[in-house]
Amino acid sequence: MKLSKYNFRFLTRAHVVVGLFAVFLFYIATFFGSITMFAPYIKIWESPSRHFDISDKNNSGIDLDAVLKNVIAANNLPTKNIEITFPSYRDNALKVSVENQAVIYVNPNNGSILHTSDESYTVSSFLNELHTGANIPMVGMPLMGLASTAMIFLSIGGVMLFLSARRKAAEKKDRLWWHKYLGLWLLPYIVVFTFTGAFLGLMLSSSSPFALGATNFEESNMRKLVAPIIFKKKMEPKESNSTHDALSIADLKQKASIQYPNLHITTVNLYAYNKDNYEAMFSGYLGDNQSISGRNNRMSITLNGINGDVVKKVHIEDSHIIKRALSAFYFLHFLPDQGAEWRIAFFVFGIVMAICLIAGYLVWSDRKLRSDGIFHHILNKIAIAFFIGVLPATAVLFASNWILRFDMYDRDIWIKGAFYATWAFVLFYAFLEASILNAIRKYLLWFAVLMSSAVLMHAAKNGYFLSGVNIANMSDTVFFVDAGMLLSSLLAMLAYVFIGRFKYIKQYEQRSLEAW
Amino acid sequence: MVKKLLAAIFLCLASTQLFAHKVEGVSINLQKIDGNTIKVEAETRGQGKKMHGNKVRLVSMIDKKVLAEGMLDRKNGCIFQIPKESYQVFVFVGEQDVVKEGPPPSGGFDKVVESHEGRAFNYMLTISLLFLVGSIFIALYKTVSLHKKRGLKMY
Repeated sequence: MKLSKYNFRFLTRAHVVVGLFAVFLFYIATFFGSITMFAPYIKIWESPSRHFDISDKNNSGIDLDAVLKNVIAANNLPTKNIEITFPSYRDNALKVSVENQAVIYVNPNNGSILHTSDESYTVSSFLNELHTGANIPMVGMPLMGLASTAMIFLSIGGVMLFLSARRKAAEKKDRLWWHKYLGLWLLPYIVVFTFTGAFLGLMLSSSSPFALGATNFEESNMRKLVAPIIFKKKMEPKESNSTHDALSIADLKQKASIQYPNLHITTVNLYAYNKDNYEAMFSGYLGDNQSISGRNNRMSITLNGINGDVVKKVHIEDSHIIKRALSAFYFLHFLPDQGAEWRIAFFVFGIVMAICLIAGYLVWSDRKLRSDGIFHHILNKIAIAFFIGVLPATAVLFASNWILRFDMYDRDIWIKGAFYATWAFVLFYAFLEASILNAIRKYLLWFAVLMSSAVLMHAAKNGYFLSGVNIANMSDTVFFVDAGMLLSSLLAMLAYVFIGRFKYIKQYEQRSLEAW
Repeated sequence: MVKKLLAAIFLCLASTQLFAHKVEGVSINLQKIDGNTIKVEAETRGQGKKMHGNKVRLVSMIDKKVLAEGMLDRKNGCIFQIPKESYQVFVFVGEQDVVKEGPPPSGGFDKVVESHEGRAFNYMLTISLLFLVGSIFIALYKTVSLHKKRGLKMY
């Protein structure tokens, strides 16, 4: 496929303009999205109550019924519908919850109730907010969705340009080379994630006009309209007063896995617990069909709690087609039940994608380098504050989690505010400093210092400090998050030392010094 | 066009929100019954349904001590004696909480602290805006000075 000369020029121009619009937003989405891949681990790292390992993976070590009775008595919970989420790599605590009322976490090793009232998982949830644009009211999510849509256009257009461009005999490895080939190698990843991301960001967040249209301007929330149809809730049983001897949860769970061997049980809902109409619904994903049985389309089996008979079994064919489609979408974007190896792989893809985006910006910036206008210089300053300055701002997020007291009022606002204030300062510094090279090196240095001090602060607050015994007793997840953070600060230090040697930064440096 | 679009994006990115202690669609009503007792109620904003079974806590704003604890009742909400020091009312909804500062008793508080509501937000917003305005100021200054010095185009 060859484009005509004019079409080629037009498409090139469109690629540049749309790319310049999307690159900043999409860089934010990519950068924070890659970190969000590790959100479950960061969640464990940031909350001191979860700093333990699960000693027994099947958690048959504790008597679930005794624990549950203890929790019910301590919190005065109603027994109509109690949901228990079993420990997983997402959260190593056992979660007991009643909808709209209370959530209690239990240590699965000894059955003690964890004190979580001060913990709010600010860092991991805020990283996700930044990724989706939910931190910007109203326009944030659609804006990120628009950037994803633009990215679909850019990748299709980019491939068309690649196919019809005349290649020179010997191609230099310049910015365009990096932008082109990194983009091409990552094409499957980009297509999958931008397509699902655009759907989640743009369509789900902007469905209110359709909802308003369908209900004569009475309801703007599409979810409220469709949820009763798609996510049908089980009718909660009438509370009966007569208690009844019932099978233990562990026995019921065993019976459920015999009846539905393919089901990996993640949660159990106990309806009318230990009453004479007691039912237990075990739900989870299918081992051989994880994509369709994702977090919003769980398969389940319901057992009678008194005698263990099967009341209802939900197979993949029984679920609503929209739920199956949604589940597949969510699977492609969130990796809901996947472990660390997938997450590390996609993290690396995300970082390579970020480099590809920066290379794309540099292609445009290179061409403008000789122009005399000041606009180009200002945009370059903003670009380094965005592309590299986001590093120290993120490190502040991690460090402030351990600097601030846990019982502080508005703690999450202080942490988020520290992030924004740092980012604003980074931008200010970029404008203040005439030398681009110096600014970049300062950012890398700040990042390394803040990241390693976050690790040290974490160690000091939890008593791991310089004690071999304590470090050996550390939870694996916590240890690897700490190690990853130290590794990232080491890489930043290496970049700090060696970045001055890159030739092409020197021309930017020179132009910037002349103009500023 | 490109410049205007980019400016619009950066404006959007700058106007971020910082909300905490708020659960979508849940509001607390604090109602003084007489001089020294207060009734706490929580309801979902959309349907106006009263919530029940949720834990309520009165927490001192001075030393963060839990002054009183109770459970929302289906009919009567939750009734407390008003403490003698500045306090906040926490209602727990699942993993989150909704917070409101409580009214003083008829005789006034013995120990009063300044209101904490919005303090973190105001501080951090001020700092961030200072740096942003500083950046814009420098950019404008450089533009004008370069323009004068070399007689260059503005764009």
